[in-house]
Amino acid sequence: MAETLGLFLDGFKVALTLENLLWVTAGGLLGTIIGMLPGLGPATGVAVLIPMTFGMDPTAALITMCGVYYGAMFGGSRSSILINTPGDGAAVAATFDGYPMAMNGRAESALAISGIASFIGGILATIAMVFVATPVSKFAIKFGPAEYFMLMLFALSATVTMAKDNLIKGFMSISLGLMISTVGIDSLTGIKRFTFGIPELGSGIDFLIVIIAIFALGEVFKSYKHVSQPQKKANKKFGKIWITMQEWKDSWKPILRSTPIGFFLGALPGAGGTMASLMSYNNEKQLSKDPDSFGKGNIVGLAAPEAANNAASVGALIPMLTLGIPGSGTTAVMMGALLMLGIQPGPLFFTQQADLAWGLIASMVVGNIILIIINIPLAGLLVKVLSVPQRVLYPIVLALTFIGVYAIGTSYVDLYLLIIFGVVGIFFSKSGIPTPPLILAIIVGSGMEKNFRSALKINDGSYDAFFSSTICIVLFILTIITLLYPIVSMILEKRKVAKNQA
Amino acid sequence: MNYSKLSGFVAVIFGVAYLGLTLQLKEATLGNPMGHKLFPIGLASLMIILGIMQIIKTRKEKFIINTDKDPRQTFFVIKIVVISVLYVMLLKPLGYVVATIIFLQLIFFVFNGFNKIVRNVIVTLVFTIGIYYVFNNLLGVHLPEFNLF
Repeated sequence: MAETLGLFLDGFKVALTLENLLWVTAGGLLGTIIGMLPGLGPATGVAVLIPMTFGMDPTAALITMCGVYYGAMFGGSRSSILINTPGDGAAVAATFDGYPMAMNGRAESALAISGIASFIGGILATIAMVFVATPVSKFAIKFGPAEYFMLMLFALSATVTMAKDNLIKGFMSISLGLMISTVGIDSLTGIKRFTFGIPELGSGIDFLIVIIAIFALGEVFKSYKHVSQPQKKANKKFGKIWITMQEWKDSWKPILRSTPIGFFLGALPGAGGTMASLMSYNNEKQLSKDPDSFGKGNIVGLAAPEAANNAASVGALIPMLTLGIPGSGTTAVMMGALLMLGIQPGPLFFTQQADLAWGLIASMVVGNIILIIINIPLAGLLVKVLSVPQRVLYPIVLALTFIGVYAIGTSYVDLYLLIIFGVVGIFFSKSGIPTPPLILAIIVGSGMEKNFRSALKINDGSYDAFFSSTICIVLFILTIITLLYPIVSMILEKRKVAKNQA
Repeated sequence: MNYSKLSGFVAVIFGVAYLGLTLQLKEATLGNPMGHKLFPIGLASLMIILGIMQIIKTRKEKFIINTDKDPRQTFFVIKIVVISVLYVMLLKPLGYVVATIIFLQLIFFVFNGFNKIVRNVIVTLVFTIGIYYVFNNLLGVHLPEFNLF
């Protein structure tokens, strides 16, 4: 454990150089601006700003992306509180009490507590991660191809069921994602699959393109409803942005209670920030002596989800960094950024690239601190961004998606793919098909197929391979449970309704 | 349009097409001759089954449903898609700077109509040239040059 702490502290040395601090600040500011746009959250922020890191060394790139990630999260809660417009799902809970607080003339307290709660949630979760990451990695090293295949199967199906998506549509999303990952030259046989004679498709479809298409282009397509209405105006004049002693006394316990909820839910595949923030909100409401004040500007109702949301964002990095399997759309995008930098997250990440791994975790702490520094004293200034017309920002985001995708592969084919997947994203949204499973499937797809074939090969083509170890059987049972859970809960719900009607 | 119902049919068609393409793939000379087809065959079957399940599930729904959504929203998406395709086609002959200026002007027109034209022109020029400078000089990514002559 002393060794782990030593590595963690070494990480700070890397993160705290002047150059890196400048990058994390720049990333944080740009992320905040994107996060403030309705519909655009951390996933889009990271996806659109990835090209910013071209030419940087991996550490600087990582720390910049951490700045963007946190910046977008802070930005999302800013616009939730001030104009009742959450950037993404995870910021929705911040509107419940944050916006009423701002309406009641307590915008300063609301902005401050959201920053403070996010900070505490993020830091405590990062400390927890320091202790969890190494043991999980050591356990995961024992995994063979069959175990990995079963783990990916579990992660994918859990993504659908945990997010309470429609089962059929969720699995359609997964199937399409896995199909996209099969495009290109098969690495085991050298045979071209589904390339339609287009040489650029030989190396496969870069999942970053699909991510940018769905999260950035798709959101611009959907922006009509935001830009066709008059933009909501935020109050731009603030007093001192801080909280009173009484407000702190009210909120510190909810913050500490919500952090573990967020951390735990974040680490589960598919649960993530949205569920964590809503669950902690409901939890505090149930514990409260005055539940009726929730939704009317109770500071606890803002502090709890903000802490949980940030803790979840850290927890979500555990499966991504230690197993190489992202559990949410946002971590999938982060993993995309890492892979592009030549960093392969997985069980060996913490042993073979320990300096980078701990540098990343230290960057997150530094990113969190910098964002607090930018956000609390400069909130008044940042909020001016909210008055920049969305009719200007959306076209710029659109142009950035094209330039970003071109920069990734300097290929015109990629730009057509971007448009095609943007349209697929719109079709998904119209038919109610969830997109996170698609993104996860594209990312784990090629690894999943490779593990599937290796496992079969080791076992001479026998499918017993997937039930040959305890880990496999446990994962299989977990997968079955995740599949049956929504069906069982639906039947129970129906019975309850029937009983109430009788 | 009932997109939820449509998705079932799209899934079946897509699954069958993907299955057809998979079965036409060459046999491998290295390793298991069927190895590279197993996983895609599984995926195609899954997609077809899911599509059929969705068709059965939505069998009582009508295909044409009155959505009270603004038809202008659909046009908005179509306009952006068409302008985007045009942009990609122009990028190679006209180069990044000229193509992006045209693209952004058209997109700004879709978003703003005839309002604030001066502002839009200024934003377009500053953004286009700023990005060109950042990518070419700071990031070392060379954006397409003017290539017509």
